[in-house]
Amino acid sequence: MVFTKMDYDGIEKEERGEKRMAFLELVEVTKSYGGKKSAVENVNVAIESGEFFVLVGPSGCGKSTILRLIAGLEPLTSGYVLIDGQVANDWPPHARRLSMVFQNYALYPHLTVEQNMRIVLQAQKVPKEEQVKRCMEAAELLGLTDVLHRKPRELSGGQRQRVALGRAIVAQTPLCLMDEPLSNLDAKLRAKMRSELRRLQRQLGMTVIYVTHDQTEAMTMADRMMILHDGRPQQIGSPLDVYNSPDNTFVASFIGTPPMNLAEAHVLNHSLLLQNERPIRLRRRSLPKAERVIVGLRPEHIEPAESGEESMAVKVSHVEWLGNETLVTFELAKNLYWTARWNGQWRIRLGEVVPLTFDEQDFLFFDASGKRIGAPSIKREEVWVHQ
Amino acid sequence: MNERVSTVPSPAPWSVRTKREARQAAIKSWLEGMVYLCPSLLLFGVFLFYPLGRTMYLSVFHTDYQGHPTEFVGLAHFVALLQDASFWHSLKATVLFAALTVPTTVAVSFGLALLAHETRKGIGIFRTIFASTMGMSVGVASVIWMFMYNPAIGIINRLVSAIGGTPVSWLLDQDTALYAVAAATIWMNIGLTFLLLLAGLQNIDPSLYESARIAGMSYWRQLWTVTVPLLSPTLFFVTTVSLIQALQTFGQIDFLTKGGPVEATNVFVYAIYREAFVNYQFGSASAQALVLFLIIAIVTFLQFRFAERKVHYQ
Repeated sequence: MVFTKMDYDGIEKEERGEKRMAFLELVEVTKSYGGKKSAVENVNVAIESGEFFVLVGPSGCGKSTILRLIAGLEPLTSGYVLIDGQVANDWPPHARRLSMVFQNYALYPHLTVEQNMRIVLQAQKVPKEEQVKRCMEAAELLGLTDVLHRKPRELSGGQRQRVALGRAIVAQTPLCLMDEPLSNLDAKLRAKMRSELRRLQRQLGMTVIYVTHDQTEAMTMADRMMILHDGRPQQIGSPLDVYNSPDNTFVASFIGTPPMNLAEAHVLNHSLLLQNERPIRLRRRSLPKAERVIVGLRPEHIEPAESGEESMAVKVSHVEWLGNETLVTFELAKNLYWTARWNGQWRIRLGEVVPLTFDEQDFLFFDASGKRIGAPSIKREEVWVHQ
Repeated sequence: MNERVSTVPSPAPWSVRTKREARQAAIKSWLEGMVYLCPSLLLFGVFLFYPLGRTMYLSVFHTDYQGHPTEFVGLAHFVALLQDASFWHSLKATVLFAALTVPTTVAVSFGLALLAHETRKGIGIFRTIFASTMGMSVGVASVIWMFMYNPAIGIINRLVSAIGGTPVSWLLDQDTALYAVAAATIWMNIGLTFLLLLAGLQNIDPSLYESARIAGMSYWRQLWTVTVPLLSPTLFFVTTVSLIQALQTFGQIDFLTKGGPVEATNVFVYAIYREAFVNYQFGSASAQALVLFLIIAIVTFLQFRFAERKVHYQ
């Protein structure tokens, strides 16, 4: 087995001493629709040129609203949108030089694939030969050459999705906004399009801001992502940073499947008391100062104990066999169910009592309000991937 | 005999249906279908097919004052019609009336629908006002317009006087009567046409407009490349229905002008009505009714044949 250091684009550039340019900046962006709570509040982020930036969160968290604010489809309540360093708050959508891929694709049903792609260029008064040229190139890139003269209703879902993408490509705008572009596709096609989209984006050097509610999409596609909840940004970072070092319990439970195991705990002298019931002895690690904390542990960090090892006996309440791995759910304390993820296929019966073990270094601590205690300690250099 | 016998039937041998059995099954299925169709067939029969058949029958007879056929005359009524100047006159009036009302109704309603489709504060009030004529009967609307057209006390002549014009006897002048009735008709028809077009507009996916805005299309370009094509099924529908309605206009003519002055507003259906119930010429009236039926059928057919090509169904 070969392990190599992750090829992290950003790190390499920084190492070479190149400074990345902030291409799009949101400064204290807030949007409210007149209600008590704002739909989007105090979003600050700088997105770099060529970056694939993902806005992720549950439905209604304001991620699509942010995209519409960037596009200029809706006015900001306060704050600034900066494009290439210039305040673009009052710019109309087309002056922002961006393209947008909508969830339902927004194809004109009465126009053919070619016309659908060229209509963008016609509006921008691009010469006709140039229109045809760009259109052909995009069609080639996306495998749409054979269906250029068909209308959207004669296409499959995947083809329609690619036409919507083609429209963004022919526009040749530096920034492309994508609003859940894959959510109308079936699971298999979605997985395929994820990598295809990423490949295209790298090939064309587009800056993409991508909205999704699917944390898998965010994890697999993003250079960096912003996790949103109730219109408020929870954390910004690369997928692995966010996964390894979530800023709060929301991010911890939202990113990763199955989600991070969480439990309330009392901090005692050298141990934790989970849910007033299950004591856990910790040796090396200095415990947080707070009296009550929330502890978090990723499912993959809970392992079956070997005989002789210090372990904790739990009763198995549910098992899922995924083929390559097994998800074991057990009752840690009364009404507190945790899940462990083990490689391989484990023959375990329901109700069976199994011994478990974990490394106390893997525990994350959050305060009672859900905020992470202690600075994120994991450095990028420590991240290794399996190749 | 206390042994239990299995009640599970042995599998039936694969059987071929004979021709006779197949025919019987087909007849049974046909009869079953007819039972479901019965109520509507009955209604159509009583209110549509019987009157149509009766009209065809009467059109080849002379009739007495009660409408009973007296003498078979063949196609004589049709021949007489084609030679009758007043028939051609009423045909001309009808075509002119349709040409005045249909495009204007659709255009004005489309404009109002575009205005009412904008999201502004209080737009609901305007939507209600624009659609309100829909809830008004021809009788009520005609009375309102009769007062407005009144040469002495009507508001229209008062306005004309106010800006220094000479008052006009709108409904009594043979040069203005048809235009006056047409104006009233447009007003009456706007409500429903407006509502249908507004509903059509609201059916268009807003993301199409957002995409157009991002591409930098102007309002008029959006109107032409997005709105009109996507609204074309509704536009086609309201145009067809308005045209048929215009060719069948009766109520407002009866209320406002009674076909006068000097037959200026004697449109087709009104002429038929007069022939049948004023002159008691049921045979000739039936012949005219059939001619109108034929004209509407042809016009509608042509519309579907040619105009529908430009309609984009989704």
